[in-house]
Amino acid sequence: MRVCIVGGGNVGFYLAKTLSENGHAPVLIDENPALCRRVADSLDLTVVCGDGTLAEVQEGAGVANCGALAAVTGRDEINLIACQVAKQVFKVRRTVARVTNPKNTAVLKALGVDTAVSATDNLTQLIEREVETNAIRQLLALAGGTASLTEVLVPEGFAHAGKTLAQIAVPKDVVIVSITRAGELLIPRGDTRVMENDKLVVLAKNTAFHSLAKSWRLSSER
Amino acid sequence: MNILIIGCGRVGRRLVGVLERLGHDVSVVDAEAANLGLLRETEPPFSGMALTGVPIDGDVLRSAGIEDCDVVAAVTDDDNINLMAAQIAQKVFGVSHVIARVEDPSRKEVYTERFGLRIVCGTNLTAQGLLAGILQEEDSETQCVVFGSSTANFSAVPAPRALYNRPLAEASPPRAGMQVFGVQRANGTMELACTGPLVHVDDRIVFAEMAD
Repeated sequence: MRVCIVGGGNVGFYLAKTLSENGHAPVLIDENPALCRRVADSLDLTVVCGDGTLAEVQEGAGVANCGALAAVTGRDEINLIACQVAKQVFKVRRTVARVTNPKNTAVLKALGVDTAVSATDNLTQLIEREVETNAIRQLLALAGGTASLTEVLVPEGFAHAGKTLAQIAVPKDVVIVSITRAGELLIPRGDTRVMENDKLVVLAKNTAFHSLAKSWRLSSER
Repeated sequence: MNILIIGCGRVGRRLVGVLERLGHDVSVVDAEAANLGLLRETEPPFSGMALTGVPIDGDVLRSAGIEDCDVVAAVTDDDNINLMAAQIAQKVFGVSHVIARVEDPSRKEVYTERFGLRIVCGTNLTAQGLLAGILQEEDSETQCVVFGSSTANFSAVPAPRALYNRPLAEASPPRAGMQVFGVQRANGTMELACTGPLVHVDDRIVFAEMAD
Protein backbone atom coordinates (compact mmCIF):
# COMPACT_ATOMS: atom_id res chain seq x y z
CA MET A 1 0.00 0.00 0.00
CA ARG A 2 1.23 3.50 -0.74
CA VAL A 3 1.42 5.38 2.55
CA CYS A 4 2.27 9.04 3.01
CA ILE A 5 4.09 9.97 6.20
CA VAL A 6 4.18 13.61 7.29
CA GLY A 7 7.06 14.22 9.65
CA GLY A 8 10.60 12.95 9.21
CA GLY A 9 11.81 12.99 12.81
CA ASN A 10 12.48 9.82 14.77
CA VAL A 11 8.91 8.59 14.72
CA GLY A 12 8.45 9.24 11.00
CA PHE A 13 11.82 7.75 10.18
CA TYR A 14 11.23 4.45 11.97
CA LEU A 15 7.64 4.30 10.77
CA ALA A 16 8.82 4.66 7.16
CA LYS A 17 11.53 2.06 7.73
CA THR A 18 9.11 -0.47 9.26
CA LEU A 19 6.43 0.05 6.62
CA SER A 20 9.07 -0.42 3.94
CA GLU A 21 10.28 -3.64 5.52
CA ASN A 22 6.69 -4.86 5.70
CA GLY A 23 6.34 -4.44 1.96
CA HIS A 24 4.54 -1.11 1.72
CA ALA A 25 5.60 1.91 -0.30
CA PRO A 26 6.00 4.90 2.01
CA VAL A 27 6.44 8.49 0.81
CA LEU A 28 7.75 10.93 3.41
CA ILE A 29 7.18 14.69 3.66
CA ASP A 30 9.14 17.00 5.94
CA GLU A 31 9.91 20.71 5.91
CA ASN A 32 13.47 20.44 7.13
CA PRO A 33 15.96 19.78 4.31
CA ALA A 34 18.48 18.17 6.68
CA LEU A 35 15.90 15.65 7.94
CA CYS A 36 14.79 14.95 4.38
CA ARG A 37 18.37 14.26 3.35
CA ARG A 38 18.89 11.93 6.32
CA VAL A 39 15.82 9.88 5.40
CA ALA A 40 16.62 9.85 1.69
CA ASP A 41 20.18 8.72 2.41
CA SER A 42 19.29 5.94 4.83
CA LEU A 43 16.10 4.59 3.36
CA ASP A 44 15.17 3.76 -0.19
CA LEU A 45 11.99 5.76 -0.58
CA THR A 46 10.64 9.01 -2.03
CA VAL A 47 11.12 12.05 0.18
CA VAL A 48 9.40 15.38 -0.48
CA CYS A 49 10.76 18.49 1.21
CA GLY A 50 7.90 20.83 1.98
CA ASP A 51 5.03 21.77 4.28
CA GLY A 52 2.88 18.63 4.57
CA THR A 53 -0.17 20.67 5.55
CA LEU A 54 -0.35 22.36 2.15
CA ALA A 55 -2.46 20.79 -0.61
CA GLU A 56 0.17 21.49 -3.31
CA VAL A 57 2.88 19.66 -1.35
CA GLN A 58 0.61 16.67 -0.70
CA GLU A 59 -0.27 16.62 -4.37
CA GLY A 60 3.41 16.56 -5.30
CA ALA A 61 3.91 13.62 -2.97
CA GLY A 62 1.13 11.69 -4.68
CA VAL A 63 -1.18 11.64 -1.69
CA ALA A 64 -4.12 11.14 -4.05
CA ASN A 65 -2.81 7.63 -4.73
CA CYS A 66 -2.13 6.74 -1.12
CA GLY A 67 -4.23 4.33 0.86
CA ALA A 68 -3.29 6.06 4.10
CA LEU A 69 -1.67 9.19 5.47
CA ALA A 70 0.07 9.20 8.84
CA ALA A 71 0.91 12.58 10.35
CA VAL A 72 3.51 12.01 13.04
CA THR A 73 5.18 15.36 13.73
CA GLY A 74 5.52 16.54 17.31
CA ARG A 75 2.84 19.21 16.82
CA ASP A 76 -0.80 18.20 17.14
CA GLU A 77 -2.07 21.11 15.05
CA ILE A 78 0.18 20.19 12.11
CA ASN A 79 -0.92 16.57 12.29
CA LEU A 80 -4.58 17.59 12.35
CA ILE A 81 -4.37 19.90 9.34
CA ALA A 82 -2.32 17.39 7.31
CA CYS A 83 -4.93 14.68 7.94
CA GLN A 84 -7.85 16.99 7.17
CA VAL A 85 -6.38 18.16 3.87
CA ALA A 86 -5.56 14.58 2.85
CA LYS A 87 -9.08 13.43 3.56
CA GLN A 88 -11.04 16.40 2.19
CA VAL A 89 -8.95 17.29 -0.84
CA PHE A 90 -7.45 13.93 -1.84
CA LYS A 91 -10.05 11.55 -0.40
CA VAL A 92 -7.45 9.43 1.40
CA ARG A 93 -9.29 6.48 2.94
CA ARG A 94 -7.43 6.29 6.22
CA THR A 95 -5.82 9.12 8.21
CA VAL A 96 -3.73 8.54 11.31
CA ALA A 97 -2.40 11.25 13.59
CA ARG A 98 0.13 11.16 16.38
CA VAL A 99 -1.11 13.14 19.35
CA THR A 100 1.20 14.63 21.95
CA ASN A 101 -1.35 16.16 24.30
CA PRO A 102 -3.54 13.19 25.33
CA LYS A 103 -6.59 15.45 25.56
CA ASN A 104 -6.33 16.14 21.85
CA THR A 105 -7.03 12.49 20.97
CA ALA A 106 -10.79 12.97 21.29
CA VAL A 107 -10.60 16.40 19.62
CA LEU A 108 -8.80 15.10 16.55
CA LYS A 109 -11.26 12.24 16.20
CA ALA A 110 -14.15 14.71 16.46
CA LEU A 111 -12.54 16.78 13.71
CA GLY A 112 -12.41 13.87 11.27
CA VAL A 113 -9.12 12.06 11.85
CA ASP A 114 -9.75 8.29 11.59
CA THR A 115 -7.19 7.18 14.18
CA ALA A 116 -5.46 9.34 16.77
CA VAL A 117 -2.65 7.76 18.76
CA SER A 118 -1.28 9.24 21.97
CA ALA A 119 2.04 7.76 22.99
CA THR A 120 1.66 9.46 26.37
CA ASP A 121 -1.64 7.65 27.02
CA ASN A 122 -0.20 4.28 26.07
CA LEU A 123 2.83 4.74 28.29
CA THR A 124 0.69 6.01 31.17
CA GLN A 125 -1.50 2.96 31.04
CA LEU A 126 1.41 0.58 30.82
CA ILE A 127 3.17 2.22 33.75
CA GLU A 128 0.07 2.26 35.88
CA ARG A 129 -0.63 -1.37 35.13
CA GLU A 130 2.92 -2.40 36.04
CA VAL A 131 2.81 -0.56 39.31
CA GLU A 132 -0.62 -1.96 40.15
CA THR A 133 0.18 -5.59 40.95
CA ASN A 134 1.44 -8.73 39.26
CA ALA A 135 -1.81 -10.53 39.91
CA ILE A 136 -3.36 -8.42 37.17
CA ARG A 137 -2.75 -8.92 33.45
CA GLN A 138 -4.37 -6.83 30.74
CA LEU A 139 -5.74 -9.01 27.95
CA LEU A 140 -7.28 -6.41 25.68
CA ALA A 141 -7.60 -2.63 25.53
CA LEU A 142 -11.07 -1.42 24.50
CA ALA A 143 -12.91 1.79 23.70
CA GLY A 144 -9.84 3.68 22.49
CA GLY A 145 -7.88 2.66 25.56
CA THR A 146 -10.37 3.83 28.18
CA ALA A 147 -11.52 0.34 29.15
CA SER A 148 -9.93 -3.11 29.34
CA LEU A 149 -10.50 -6.82 29.53
CA THR A 150 -8.21 -7.95 32.35
CA GLU A 151 -7.29 -11.26 33.94
CA VAL A 152 -7.16 -11.14 37.74
CA LEU A 153 -5.76 -13.83 40.04
CA VAL A 154 -7.65 -13.93 43.32
CA PRO A 155 -4.94 -14.01 46.00
CA GLU A 156 -4.59 -16.23 49.06
CA GLY A 157 -6.18 -14.54 52.02
CA PHE A 158 -8.70 -12.74 49.80
CA ALA A 159 -11.01 -10.91 52.21
CA HIS A 160 -14.16 -11.93 50.35
CA ALA A 161 -13.21 -15.58 49.63
CA GLY A 162 -16.29 -17.77 49.70
CA LYS A 163 -18.76 -14.90 49.23
CA THR A 164 -21.09 -14.66 46.23
CA LEU A 165 -20.67 -11.90 43.69
CA ALA A 166 -23.89 -10.38 44.97
CA GLN A 167 -22.42 -10.21 48.48
CA ILE A 168 -19.05 -8.76 47.43
CA ALA A 169 -18.99 -5.02 46.64
CA VAL A 170 -18.26 -5.11 42.91
CA PRO A 171 -17.69 -1.48 41.87
CA LYS A 172 -19.91 0.20 39.28
CA ASP A 173 -18.60 -0.05 35.67
CA VAL A 174 -17.06 -3.47 36.40
CA VAL A 175 -18.36 -6.80 35.09
CA ILE A 176 -16.94 -10.20 36.05
CA VAL A 177 -17.12 -11.98 32.72
CA SER A 178 -15.80 -15.40 33.68
CA ILE A 179 -14.28 -17.38 36.57
CA THR A 180 -11.81 -20.16 35.88
CA ARG A 181 -11.37 -22.61 38.75
CA ALA A 182 -9.40 -25.85 38.57
CA GLY A 183 -9.29 -25.62 34.81
CA GLU A 184 -13.05 -25.14 34.45
CA LEU A 185 -14.55 -21.91 33.13
CA LEU A 186 -17.75 -20.66 34.77
CA ILE A 187 -19.95 -17.84 33.55
CA PRO A 188 -20.86 -16.20 36.85
CA ARG A 189 -24.17 -14.89 38.10
CA GLY A 190 -24.98 -13.05 41.31
CA ASP A 191 -24.99 -16.29 43.29
CA THR A 192 -21.60 -17.55 42.04
CA ARG A 193 -18.95 -17.63 44.75
CA VAL A 194 -15.39 -16.28 44.38
CA MET A 195 -12.59 -18.42 45.87
CA GLU A 196 -8.87 -17.92 46.41
CA ASN A 197 -6.77 -18.78 43.34
CA ASP A 198 -9.72 -18.23 40.99
CA LYS A 199 -8.74 -16.57 37.71
CA LEU A 200 -11.32 -13.91 36.89
CA VAL A 201 -11.72 -12.16 33.56
CA VAL A 202 -12.95 -8.65 34.29
CA LEU A 203 -14.40 -6.12 31.86
CA ALA A 204 -14.08 -2.60 33.26
CA LYS A 205 -13.49 1.07 32.55
CA ASN A 206 -9.91 1.79 33.60
CA THR A 207 -10.87 4.19 36.38
CA ALA A 208 -13.27 1.61 37.81
CA PHE A 209 -10.57 -1.02 37.65
CA HIS A 210 -8.40 1.05 39.99
CA SER A 211 -11.27 1.05 42.49
CA LEU A 212 -11.62 -2.71 42.17
CA ALA A 213 -7.93 -3.35 42.75
CA LYS A 214 -8.11 -1.13 45.81
CA SER A 215 -11.30 -2.49 47.35
CA TRP A 216 -10.29 -6.10 46.80
CA ARG A 217 -6.79 -5.31 48.04
CA LEU A 218 -5.22 -7.10 45.10
CA SER A 219 -1.58 -6.72 45.95
CA SER A 220 0.03 -10.13 46.17
CA GLU A 221 2.51 -11.35 43.58
CA ARG A 222 1.61 -13.91 40.94
CA MET B 1 -20.66 40.92 23.02
CA ASN B 2 -18.33 38.46 24.72
CA ILE B 3 -15.38 38.01 22.40
CA LEU B 4 -12.42 35.64 22.77
CA ILE B 5 -9.27 36.58 20.90
CA ILE B 6 -6.78 33.74 20.50
CA GLY B 7 -3.29 35.12 19.91
CA CYS B 8 -1.95 38.36 21.30
CA GLY B 9 0.66 39.43 18.75
CA ARG B 10 0.35 42.64 16.73
CA VAL B 11 -2.94 41.67 15.14
CA GLY B 12 -4.44 40.36 18.38
CA ARG B 13 -3.43 43.45 20.34
CA ARG B 14 -4.90 45.74 17.72
CA LEU B 15 -8.17 43.81 17.71
CA VAL B 16 -8.36 43.82 21.49
CA GLY B 17 -7.83 47.59 21.60
CA VAL B 18 -10.49 48.36 19.02
CA LEU B 19 -13.04 45.94 20.43
CA GLU B 20 -12.61 47.22 23.96
CA ARG B 21 -13.06 50.78 22.78
CA LEU B 22 -16.29 49.70 21.06
CA GLY B 23 -17.50 48.46 24.42
CA HIS B 24 -17.24 44.69 24.05
CA ASP B 25 -16.12 42.26 26.74
CA VAL B 26 -12.86 40.84 25.48
CA SER B 27 -10.76 37.94 26.74
CA VAL B 28 -7.41 36.96 25.26
CA VAL B 29 -5.35 33.79 25.23
CA ASP B 30 -1.70 33.55 24.24
CA ALA B 31 0.96 30.89 24.80
CA GLU B 32 3.50 33.57 25.86
CA ALA B 33 2.95 35.60 29.01
CA ALA B 34 5.20 38.31 27.55
CA ASN B 35 2.73 39.00 24.73
CA LEU B 36 -0.10 39.41 27.18
CA GLY B 37 2.09 41.69 29.28
CA LEU B 38 2.13 44.23 26.43
CA LEU B 39 -1.63 44.61 26.83
CA ARG B 40 -1.16 46.27 30.19
CA GLU B 41 0.75 49.07 28.53
CA THR B 42 -2.11 50.20 26.31
CA GLU B 43 -3.92 53.43 27.07
CA PRO B 44 -6.45 52.91 28.62
CA PRO B 45 -5.15 49.63 30.10
CA PHE B 46 -6.78 46.36 29.12
CA SER B 47 -9.61 45.51 31.47
CA GLY B 48 -10.61 42.05 30.26
CA MET B 49 -9.24 38.61 31.04
CA ALA B 50 -5.82 37.63 29.73
CA LEU B 51 -4.83 33.98 30.05
CA THR B 52 -1.47 32.38 29.30
CA GLY B 53 -1.86 28.92 27.87
CA VAL B 54 -1.73 26.67 24.83
CA PRO B 55 -4.55 27.90 22.57
CA ILE B 56 -5.41 24.44 21.23
CA ASP B 57 -5.94 22.99 24.70
CA GLY B 58 -9.63 22.63 25.52
CA ASP B 59 -9.05 23.23 29.23
CA VAL B 60 -7.23 26.49 28.54
CA LEU B 61 -10.04 27.68 26.27
CA ARG B 62 -12.60 26.73 28.87
CA SER B 63 -10.73 28.73 31.53
CA ALA B 64 -10.71 31.67 29.15
CA GLY B 65 -14.49 31.50 29.09
CA ILE B 66 -15.06 30.16 25.58
CA GLU B 67 -18.33 28.56 26.66
CA ASP B 68 -19.87 31.99 27.25
CA CYS B 69 -18.47 33.62 24.15
CA ASP B 70 -20.47 35.04 21.30
CA VAL B 71 -17.48 35.28 18.96
CA VAL B 72 -14.10 33.56 18.79
CA ALA B 73 -11.29 34.93 16.60
CA ALA B 74 -8.12 32.85 16.15
CA VAL B 75 -5.41 35.28 15.08
CA THR B 76 -2.01 33.88 16.05
CA ASP B 77 0.78 33.95 13.46
CA ASP B 78 0.49 30.19 12.98
CA ASP B 79 -2.13 29.16 10.41
CA ASN B 80 -2.45 25.60 11.68
CA ILE B 81 -2.97 26.67 15.28
CA ASN B 82 -5.63 29.14 14.14
CA LEU B 83 -7.41 26.50 12.06
CA MET B 84 -7.34 23.97 14.88
CA ALA B 85 -8.48 26.48 17.51
CA ALA B 86 -11.29 27.70 15.26
CA GLN B 87 -12.55 24.17 14.69
CA ILE B 88 -12.33 23.36 18.39
CA ALA B 89 -14.40 26.47 19.11
CA GLN B 90 -17.00 25.37 16.56
CA LYS B 91 -17.17 21.61 16.98
CA VAL B 92 -16.21 21.06 20.63
CA PHE B 93 -17.65 24.20 22.21
CA GLY B 94 -20.44 24.90 19.75
CA VAL B 95 -19.56 28.57 19.14
CA SER B 96 -21.25 29.47 15.85
CA HIS B 97 -19.54 32.79 15.14
CA VAL B 98 -15.89 31.86 14.58
CA ILE B 99 -13.27 33.51 12.41
CA ALA B 100 -9.69 32.50 11.70
CA ARG B 101 -6.64 34.28 10.36
CA VAL B 102 -4.80 32.21 7.76
CA GLU B 103 -1.85 33.77 5.99
CA ASP B 104 -1.19 31.14 3.34
CA PRO B 105 -3.57 31.89 0.43
CA SER B 106 -3.89 28.28 -0.76
CA ARG B 107 -4.57 27.05 2.74
CA LYS B 108 -7.20 29.77 3.09
CA GLU B 109 -8.84 28.57 -0.10
CA VAL B 110 -8.97 24.93 1.02
CA TYR B 111 -10.46 25.77 4.38
CA THR B 112 -13.06 28.27 3.16
CA GLU B 113 -14.21 26.08 0.28
CA ARG B 114 -14.09 22.63 1.84
CA PHE B 115 -14.60 23.30 5.52
CA GLY B 116 -16.82 26.37 5.34
CA LEU B 117 -14.69 28.27 7.85
CA ARG B 118 -14.79 32.05 7.90
CA ILE B 119 -11.23 33.19 7.19
CA VAL B 120 -9.33 36.40 6.67
CA CYS B 121 -6.07 36.12 4.69
CA GLY B 122 -3.66 38.92 5.53
CA THR B 123 -1.33 38.04 2.68
CA ASN B 124 -4.04 38.55 0.06
CA LEU B 125 -5.33 41.77 1.61
CA THR B 126 -1.86 43.24 2.02
CA ALA B 127 -0.89 42.35 -1.54
CA GLN B 128 -4.10 43.83 -2.89
CA GLY B 129 -3.70 46.99 -0.89
CA LEU B 130 -0.16 47.43 -2.13
CA LEU B 131 -1.21 46.58 -5.69
CA ALA B 132 -3.87 49.24 -5.62
CA GLY B 133 -1.26 51.68 -4.32
CA ILE B 134 1.24 50.70 -7.01
CA LEU B 135 -1.11 50.60 -9.98
CA GLN B 136 -3.78 53.14 -9.28
CA GLU B 137 -3.67 56.75 -10.32
CA GLU B 138 -3.21 59.51 -7.83
CA ASP B 139 -6.33 61.18 -6.55
CA SER B 140 -8.42 58.04 -6.22
CA GLU B 141 -10.22 56.64 -3.23
CA THR B 142 -10.66 52.98 -2.21
CA GLN B 143 -13.12 51.24 0.07
CA CYS B 144 -13.03 47.60 1.18
CA VAL B 145 -16.17 45.66 1.95
CA VAL B 146 -16.04 42.23 3.54
CA PHE B 147 -18.52 39.49 2.63
CA GLY B 148 -17.86 36.29 4.59
CA SER B 149 -14.31 35.26 3.75
CA SER B 150 -14.04 37.50 0.69
CA THR B 151 -13.22 41.16 0.38
CA ALA B 152 -14.40 43.44 -2.40
CA ASN B 153 -12.51 46.63 -3.30
CA PHE B 154 -14.29 49.70 -4.62
CA SER B 155 -12.15 52.46 -6.08
CA ALA B 156 -13.32 55.83 -7.30
CA VAL B 157 -11.20 57.29 -10.10
CA PRO B 158 -11.66 60.69 -11.79
CA ALA B 159 -13.47 60.24 -15.12
CA PRO B 160 -11.23 60.72 -18.16
CA ARG B 161 -12.06 63.60 -20.50
CA ALA B 162 -12.88 61.19 -23.30
CA LEU B 163 -15.90 59.94 -21.36
CA TYR B 164 -17.56 63.30 -20.69
CA ASN B 165 -21.18 63.09 -21.86
CA ARG B 166 -20.69 59.49 -22.91
CA PRO B 167 -22.65 56.59 -21.34
CA LEU B 168 -20.93 55.07 -18.31
CA ALA B 169 -21.16 51.72 -20.12
CA GLU B 170 -18.29 52.91 -22.36
CA ALA B 171 -15.90 53.15 -19.40
CA SER B 172 -13.28 50.43 -19.30
CA PRO B 173 -11.65 49.34 -16.05
CA PRO B 174 -7.88 49.86 -15.69
CA ARG B 175 -7.20 46.14 -15.19
CA ALA B 176 -8.64 42.67 -15.64
CA GLY B 177 -10.94 41.39 -12.90
CA MET B 178 -12.43 44.84 -12.37
CA GLN B 179 -15.88 45.94 -13.40
CA VAL B 180 -17.65 49.27 -13.56
CA PHE B 181 -19.84 49.65 -10.49
CA GLY B 182 -21.26 53.12 -10.78
CA VAL B 183 -20.55 56.83 -11.08
CA GLN B 184 -20.01 59.27 -8.22
CA ARG B 185 -21.19 62.79 -8.94
CA ALA B 186 -19.42 65.95 -7.85
CA ASN B 187 -22.14 66.58 -5.25
CA GLY B 188 -21.35 63.23 -3.63
CA THR B 189 -24.38 61.26 -4.87
CA MET B 190 -23.83 57.99 -6.69
CA GLU B 191 -25.61 56.10 -9.46
CA LEU B 192 -25.26 52.43 -10.25
CA ALA B 193 -24.00 51.35 -13.69
CA CYS B 194 -27.24 49.42 -14.29
CA THR B 195 -29.22 52.70 -14.40
CA GLY B 196 -27.33 53.63 -17.58
CA PRO B 197 -26.04 57.05 -16.50
CA LEU B 198 -24.08 59.55 -18.57
CA VAL B 199 -20.67 60.67 -17.36
CA HIS B 200 -20.39 64.35 -16.44
CA VAL B 201 -17.40 66.62 -15.87
CA ASP B 202 -15.91 66.18 -12.37
CA ASP B 203 -17.53 62.74 -11.97
CA ARG B 204 -15.57 59.86 -10.55
CA ILE B 205 -16.04 56.38 -11.94
CA VAL B 206 -16.40 53.69 -9.28
CA PHE B 207 -14.87 50.33 -10.13
CA ALA B 208 -15.33 47.06 -8.21
CA GLU B 209 -12.92 44.12 -7.93
CA MET B 210 -12.26 41.22 -5.55
CA ALA B 211 -9.35 41.88 -3.19
CA ASP B 212 -9.62 38.33 -1.83
